[in-house]
Amino acid sequence: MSRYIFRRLVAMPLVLLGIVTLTFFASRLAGDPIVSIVGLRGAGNADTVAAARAKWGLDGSIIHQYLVYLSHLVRGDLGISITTRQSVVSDIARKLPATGELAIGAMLFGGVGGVLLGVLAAARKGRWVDSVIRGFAVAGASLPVFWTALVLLFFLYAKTGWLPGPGRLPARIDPPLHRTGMYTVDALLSGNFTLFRQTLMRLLLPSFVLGWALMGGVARTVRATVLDELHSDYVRTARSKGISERAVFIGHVLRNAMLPILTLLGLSFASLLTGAVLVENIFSWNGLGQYTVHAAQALDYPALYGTCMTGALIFLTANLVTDVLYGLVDPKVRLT
Amino acid sequence: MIILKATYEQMINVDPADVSHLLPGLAEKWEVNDTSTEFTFHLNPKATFADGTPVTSADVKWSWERIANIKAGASFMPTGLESVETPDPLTAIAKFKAPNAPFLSISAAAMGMSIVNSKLATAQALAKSGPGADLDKAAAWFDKGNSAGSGMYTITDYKANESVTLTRNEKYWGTKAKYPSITIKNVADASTQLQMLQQGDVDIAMNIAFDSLTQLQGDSNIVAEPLDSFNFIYLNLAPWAAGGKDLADVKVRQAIRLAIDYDALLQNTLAGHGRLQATDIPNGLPGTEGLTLPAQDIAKAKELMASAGKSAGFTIDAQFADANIYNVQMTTMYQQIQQDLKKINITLNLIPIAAAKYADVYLAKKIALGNVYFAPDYMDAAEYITYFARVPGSNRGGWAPTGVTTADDDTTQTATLAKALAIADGTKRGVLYKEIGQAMINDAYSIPLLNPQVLFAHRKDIGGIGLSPCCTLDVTLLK
Repeated sequence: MSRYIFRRLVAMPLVLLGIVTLTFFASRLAGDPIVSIVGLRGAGNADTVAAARAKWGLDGSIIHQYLVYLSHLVRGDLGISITTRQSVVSDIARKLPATGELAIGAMLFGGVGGVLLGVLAAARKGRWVDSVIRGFAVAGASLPVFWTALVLLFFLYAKTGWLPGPGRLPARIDPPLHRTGMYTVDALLSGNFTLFRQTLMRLLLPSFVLGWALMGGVARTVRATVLDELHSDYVRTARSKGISERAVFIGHVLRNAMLPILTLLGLSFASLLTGAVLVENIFSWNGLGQYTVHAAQALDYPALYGTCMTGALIFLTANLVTDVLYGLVDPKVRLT
Repeated sequence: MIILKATYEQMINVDPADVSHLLPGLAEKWEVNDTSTEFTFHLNPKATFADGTPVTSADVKWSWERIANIKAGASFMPTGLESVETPDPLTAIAKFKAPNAPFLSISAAAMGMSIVNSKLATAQALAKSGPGADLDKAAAWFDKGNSAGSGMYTITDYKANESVTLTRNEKYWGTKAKYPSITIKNVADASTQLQMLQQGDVDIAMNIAFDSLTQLQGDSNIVAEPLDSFNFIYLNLAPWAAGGKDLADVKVRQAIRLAIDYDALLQNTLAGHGRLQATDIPNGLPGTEGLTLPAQDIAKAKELMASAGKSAGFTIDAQFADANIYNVQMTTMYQQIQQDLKKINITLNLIPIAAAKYADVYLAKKIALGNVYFAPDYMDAAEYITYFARVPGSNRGGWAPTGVTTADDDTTQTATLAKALAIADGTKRGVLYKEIGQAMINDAYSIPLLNPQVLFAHRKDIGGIGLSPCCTLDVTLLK
């Protein structure tokens, strides 16, 4: 298996290079970022435009710009963002933990919650519990997240004040000492339990909104797979051997049902990390999704390339981890 | 701009109640010579930067020369500045080759004209001021959230595009700010802003949509008032662009101006939260009073089309940014214009363009009928006249290719502008601006459509909120 992982790791930079190249040339078709840099009025002034092009490295041919970008990239330098005027590496390092925190929260709701509900629904097939769970799952999967986000915020925050509002922190509170960048973890590490509770409460609603959308798919898949497995021959054999129903369920059915669910969860986690834009916007959660959208709107190329690469890296890693887990869960899969 | 105004100061301030009225800033008094080519500023001897060093004429010279040489977006502000002389530490004289009476208003702008602590900026940011200033690396220091001003606040925490914390400058040389600290947060979603305001998590919300106005007016803790702004949206007619030849006849352009139902436009796009505007000078600036507001007159428009030999009409592309600008949905606006122009047999092909891409097409001068939008950089009509009117150097709002407009320049407008630029008195200058304003109406190269209001909503215990002429919201005025 280690050889397999090694081969996949070696291939990664090549895939990344392909993605960088594609993003670089494709995005340049979108337009000229000069207006984002000097404003509409400045863009009409030849001197200002020439100075800005020289400063931002936009003056050479596109091939030249590409090679310069690659040479910086090799050194780990992703350039300076046009909109934030900060280094893209530091921007991403600041935004990624915010989105990571949200994605982990959403995975707990969507992944863990989805599996539990799916199993419960399968075990109580055809009863009222099953119907309720299925209804809940369908609602989560079909309601658009921006709608759920706004409605839940309206009722649980604006109307009742039961949950805190948008933002990662209360308005007048400073963030905890930076360790991981995830406020809940950092608050815990610095022993500030009040802040931990505050940040956790703020994480609750956006994680649930994101997680609910995921939960629908997970619960339905788990229910269907578990039901499938329950009717297969090996289960009947196991039962006939007198193994307890519980042991059959956990040891055989669930283990086999985990395979498609693993794929679903692995890719879902990756898309949560890269696609939480709407929820981030509504909850004023300064994460990677929001950053990417701003970058795209302002033709902030350095930031855009940086986020595309981060996204690609996340997907590649998630895929690899899923494949490796496959090997661990399913003895039939041998990674060579 | 909000942060700039809070952390830096200018030589002069504009009175928010009457923008033609100037108030002392870092300069306690100032004089202008007879020809409006020399502006002498006398600095307030008490004025100091946030680090305690006194504000001197050397800082003024350094700051203005730097902006002129830095070749950045704001470098056009001191256009024509020949030199800044510093006969003594408290006197700075700005000299121009040609008369430039609006310079007093220009020197009040936060963008570009703020006075920077030159010693600090040179030492910390390695900033330069003379020729070649565009090549210095000072941006890196400033972009980290450092500031070098004399304003009522200093920046104590800066997260680009997320939040900024301003802390009261306890060493401020004048009356200190009311609030010890102000945090500005970027909350992208308008309804989220609204909820945070209602729950008391924020005190002021600056990006609330007009449709939530009724909801807010029922809340006794919140004050929400639409405020008149200086922003405007106009429709531009550019005969120079491909497909624009039908617009070359001024009668056709005037007919288009008369065909639009402005009141309906205001209702449909802004639910009435705005005003109409007569000419390409924002309402409220000297030179706009008394000009006739645009109004629909289809009969007259048809007459003009007939006398231009275009009764049968023509088809033309309208290219616009697919965006919401100043709360106006561009698509909605153009759909109505399309309906209106049909009445004089002009068929508009609506071509929405992605907002990020639109600027490219505009700068390439490829749009015959389209629009961009403007907010003033300083409080004088000269900015608009030199940009829109038929005077040398104007490229008709950026729509005409440089050079091709020379033959189209108008001698009367040119002479009136030259006369105005030499008159130091703002009100008298306004009389001449008004003449050019009327000429711009007649030329109809660009047709002002809407002057939208802005909506600031805030908790009722906060005072001093108003639309700042320079900087959206001037937080130094909060009470």
